[in-house]
Amino acid sequence: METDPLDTLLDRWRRPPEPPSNLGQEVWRRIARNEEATTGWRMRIEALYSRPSFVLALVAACLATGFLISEFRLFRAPMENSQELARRYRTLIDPTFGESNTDRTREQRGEPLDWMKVELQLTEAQFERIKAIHERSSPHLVALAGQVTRLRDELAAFERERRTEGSIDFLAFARWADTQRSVDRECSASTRRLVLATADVMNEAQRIRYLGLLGPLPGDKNILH
Amino acid sequence: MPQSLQCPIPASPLPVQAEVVEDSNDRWVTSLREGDDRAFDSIIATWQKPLFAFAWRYVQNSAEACDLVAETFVRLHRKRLSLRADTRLSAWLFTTLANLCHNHHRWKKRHPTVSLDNPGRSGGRVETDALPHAEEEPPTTHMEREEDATALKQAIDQLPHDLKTALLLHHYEKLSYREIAGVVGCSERGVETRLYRARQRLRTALSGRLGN
Repeated sequence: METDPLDTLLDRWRRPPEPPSNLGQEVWRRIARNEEATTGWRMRIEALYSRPSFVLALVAACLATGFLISEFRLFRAPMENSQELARRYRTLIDPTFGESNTDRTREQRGEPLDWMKVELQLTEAQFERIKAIHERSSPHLVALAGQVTRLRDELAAFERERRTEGSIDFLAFARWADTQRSVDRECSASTRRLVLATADVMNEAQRIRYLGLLGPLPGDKNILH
Repeated sequence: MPQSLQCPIPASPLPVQAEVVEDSNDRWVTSLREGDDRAFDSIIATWQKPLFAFAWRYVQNSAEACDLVAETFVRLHRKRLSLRADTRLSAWLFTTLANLCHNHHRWKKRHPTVSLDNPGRSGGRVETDALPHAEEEPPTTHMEREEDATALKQAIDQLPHDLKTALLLHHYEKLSYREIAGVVGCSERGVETRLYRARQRLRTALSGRLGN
């Protein structure tokens, strides 16, 4: 059988040098050096912790950090709660706000305005007037919310039709878009009327807080002034 | 990288007795996991030659090969207490050393240097030829052998890490496909493929010399 010339060439490179006789010693020397370095760090940390002043400072720093974290949480919790209440209130007064009207229905069963009394520090007289304004607007807002829900359902139906049949009735969709625009306009106008009427009952500080919690209203860049 | 170790004398490598190593493997691993330093000394004595031979062929520099082998043993000592009971020491050592060689090779490529001993070559990579030759052969034949040796080393040096490792472990360290598969982390079929590719590349690189 003929030998592969490549094997012949590879076989010529067969003679590696002998490893150094002190390789074992070198390995142990490196191990000792590594262990010294590790032990050095450990000793430094132990020495640091053996000093009472360092331990006291560390404990004080931990306590201060814990205190700051708890204070921050206490500060954040009511703020987040107020924002959540304002969001639900916004869902109540703005039919186009949010993805669905389920929140609005739920809020209407409870006492959706109670939070304002506490949060804005309203007097009894102010609260009664605001409540009356909201009760007057309520039937119209509920009717608008019903229209918004119906329009959303219709849009979903258009989308289903588009996916299943590949096309939709353009004229029907144009009519839907027209209705949508007019309902949107009416929603914006009624929400704006309600908010401004409510803000009129308040003093300046209450008004600023109220409008700040609500955030920007539809079609209105700044209604503070 | 420290260059303090001396590796001067070329000599024939003493092959590791496969049966002895196989029998000792479990005992060594158990002793290592118990922190027995005598077992560690035995491992150094048994494995330093094959490991050094592999590293020397990989990096083609004695001092660097010594350094890498020493680092391999240091890592084994550091990991000895966390070794699994079924660890194959040969695979562990060659895998660690191959990775160290690979990292070292990449580092050298990114930081080229000029050797004072061999100013013509970057990195001081290739030392005095270690190919055997007869004393009585004519100077022209000797020169041809030197050129063949240089070409072979350069061709092996140009191989990708996986192919080079498989080739060196198979051809020079006589490891089985299964053992090489454990080192390079692939199947036995994968080792076969790598060896085939390595040989193909060498044939291409050395085509002008293989016909002689």
